[in-house]
Amino acid sequence: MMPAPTLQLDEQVDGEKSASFWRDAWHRLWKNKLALFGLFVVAALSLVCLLAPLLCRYVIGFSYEQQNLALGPVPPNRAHWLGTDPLGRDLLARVLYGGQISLMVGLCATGVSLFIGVIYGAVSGFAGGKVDMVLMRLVDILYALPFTIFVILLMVFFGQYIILLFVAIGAVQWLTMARIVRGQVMAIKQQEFIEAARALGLRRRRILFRHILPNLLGPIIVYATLTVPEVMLLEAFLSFLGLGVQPPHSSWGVLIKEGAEMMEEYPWLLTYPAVAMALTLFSLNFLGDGLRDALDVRGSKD
Amino acid sequence: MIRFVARRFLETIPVLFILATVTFFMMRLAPGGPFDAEKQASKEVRARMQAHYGLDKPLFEQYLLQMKHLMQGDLGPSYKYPSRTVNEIIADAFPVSLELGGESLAVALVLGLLAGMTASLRQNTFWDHFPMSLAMIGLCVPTFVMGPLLISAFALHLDWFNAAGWYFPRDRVLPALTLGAFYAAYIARLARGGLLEVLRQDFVRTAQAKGAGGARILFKHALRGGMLPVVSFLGPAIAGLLTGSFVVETIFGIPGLGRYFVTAAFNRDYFMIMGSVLFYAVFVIAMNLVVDIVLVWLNPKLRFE
Repeated sequence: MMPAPTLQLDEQVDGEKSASFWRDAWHRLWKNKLALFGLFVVAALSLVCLLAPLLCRYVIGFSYEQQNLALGPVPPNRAHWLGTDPLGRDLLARVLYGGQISLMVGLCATGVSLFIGVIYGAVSGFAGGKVDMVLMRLVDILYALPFTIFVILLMVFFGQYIILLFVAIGAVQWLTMARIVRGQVMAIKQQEFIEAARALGLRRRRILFRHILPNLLGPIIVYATLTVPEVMLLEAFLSFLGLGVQPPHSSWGVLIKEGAEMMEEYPWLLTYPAVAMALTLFSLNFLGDGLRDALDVRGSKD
Repeated sequence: MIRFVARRFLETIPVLFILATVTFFMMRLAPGGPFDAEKQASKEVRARMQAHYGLDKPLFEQYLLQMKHLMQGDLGPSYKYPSRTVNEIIADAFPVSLELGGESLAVALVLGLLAGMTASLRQNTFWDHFPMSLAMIGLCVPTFVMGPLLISAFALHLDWFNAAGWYFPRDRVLPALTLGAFYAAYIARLARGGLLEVLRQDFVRTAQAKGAGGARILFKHALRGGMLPVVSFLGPAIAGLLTGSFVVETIFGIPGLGRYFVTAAFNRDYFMIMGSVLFYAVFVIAMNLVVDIVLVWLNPKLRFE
C-alpha cells in the first residue's frame, strides 16, 4: 500500500500541470478554423448517423431496407431527398445507416489498434534493453509484410462478421501506434518526476500507468484521430472487394461500390455516399492535423 | 553494409517460414474447399480430384510436403487453371502489376514532389494552400471513387481513353493516375513538411545570407535532408501500391496478380494463395531493404546497425 500523503501529492502536481496544458491546447485549437470545422462536421455527422433510426421513422419516412420495386431508381426529389436505388430503397436512409456502420468500424477498429499499440509500445519502451529490442524487431518485420493480403484472406475464409472486421483491421493498424508510444515512453522515462516516483518506491506498473501514460494522451489522441479515416478507407476497400459488410446492411464502402457500378445510369447513387465519406475523411484529417498543432505533437508520419 | 544486407536476408527466412505456416493452417482450418463449387461433380470424381492433388493425406503430411516443394521454389499447381502452375501464372501476371505499380509510383513522385516543393517555397501563399488542398482531396477520395470518376470523365464523356483494358500504351494513363493520386497526395504533404523543417535550419539561412536564390537553395541544400520523410514512406508505399492495385485491376480489367490473388482466395485455390502471399512478402521485404539502404545513403547520421 502507498502512504496516503504521497498519493495526494502526485495527483496535485499532475493535475495542475495538465489543466493548463489542456487549456492552452484548446485555445490553439479554437484559433484553427479548419480543425474546428472538422470537429463540427464529424460531430454533426456522427449525431445524425446515430439518430438514423429516429430520423428514418419520423423525418425521412422510409427505412433503409424497405423496397419499392415498382418505383425503381429515381433521382433526388421531394419524397426521396437523395433519390432511390434500383430496388426503390431510399438512399438517404441507406447513407445514414451506412454511416453508422462505417463510423462504428472506424471507431472500434481504431480502439482495437490503440489498445494493442499502446500496451505493446509502452511495455517495450518502459522495459528497454533486450525486451525492447526483440519487440521492436518484431514490429519492423511485421511492417514489412503486405498485411492487407492477410486481412483479405481472413475475411474470405472466416466469413464477413463485423467483429472480425474490427479485429482484422485493428490488428493491421497497431504497428505505428506502438512505435510512437514506445518513442514517447523512452523520452519520458528519463525525466526527473519518474525518477522521483521511483525513489518514492512506486511499483513499475503504477509508474507506467499513472505517471507515464497520462503524459502520452496528446500523441495518442492525435494519432487515433488520424487512424480513424485510414481504417474507414480500409473498410471501404474491403467492402469494394465484396468482403465487408453484408446486405441488407450497408456501409459507405458498400454504397460507393454499388454506386460505381451504376454511375452512368444513376449517378446520384455514387455521388452522395462518396461525398458523405469524403467529407468525413476530410474533417477527420483536418481535425487530426489541428490537434497535432494544438498539442504540439511531432508525429512520425508527416 | 554487406553485413547489414546479409543479416536482413537471414532474418527473412524465419519470417517467410512463419508466414507460410500461418497461411497454410489458416487456409485449411477455414470452412470450404477448392472443389466445393463444382456442383455436378459426383462424390467419386471429387475424391479422385482430392487424391490427385494430395488433399486426402493427413494435414500435417500435406504441410510437410508443401514446405518441401516451397523450399525448392516450386509453388505447386493451380486448381482453378489446371494446365498451369502457380509459378507460370505469377510469371505472367506479376509484370503487369509491376508495370502498373511502377507507373503509379512515377505519377505519385512527380506530382507529389512538385506540389510539395512549390508549397514549401511559397509557404502560406496561394501556391501553398492550393496544392495542399488538392492533396487533402487526394487523401480523402478512395481509389474506387477516383477510378470510376476518371473513367466517367475521360473515357465516357471526353472519349480520350478506353474505359477498361490493358492493350495500348494509353491504357496505362487512367489506372496509373487512379492509383498514383493517393500516394501523390501523401508524398506532397511529407515533402512539404520535410522541406519546411530543413529550410528553417541555420545552414539554409547562411546560404540565403550569401545570396543564393530559392531554387538553388532547394536543390543544392535542402532537398537531400527534406526528402528523408518521403523516402521512409516509400517502403510502406510500395506495399500499398501493390495491394492497392487489386482495386484498380478490378475496375479497369487489368490482368495483374492482384486480381488473380483475390479470385484465388474466393476459390480456395490453396497453392495459388500461398504462392502469391509468399511472393508479395518477398517482394515487399526486398523493397524495404532497398529503401533502408537509400535512407542511410541520404542521411549520414544513420548507420547500418
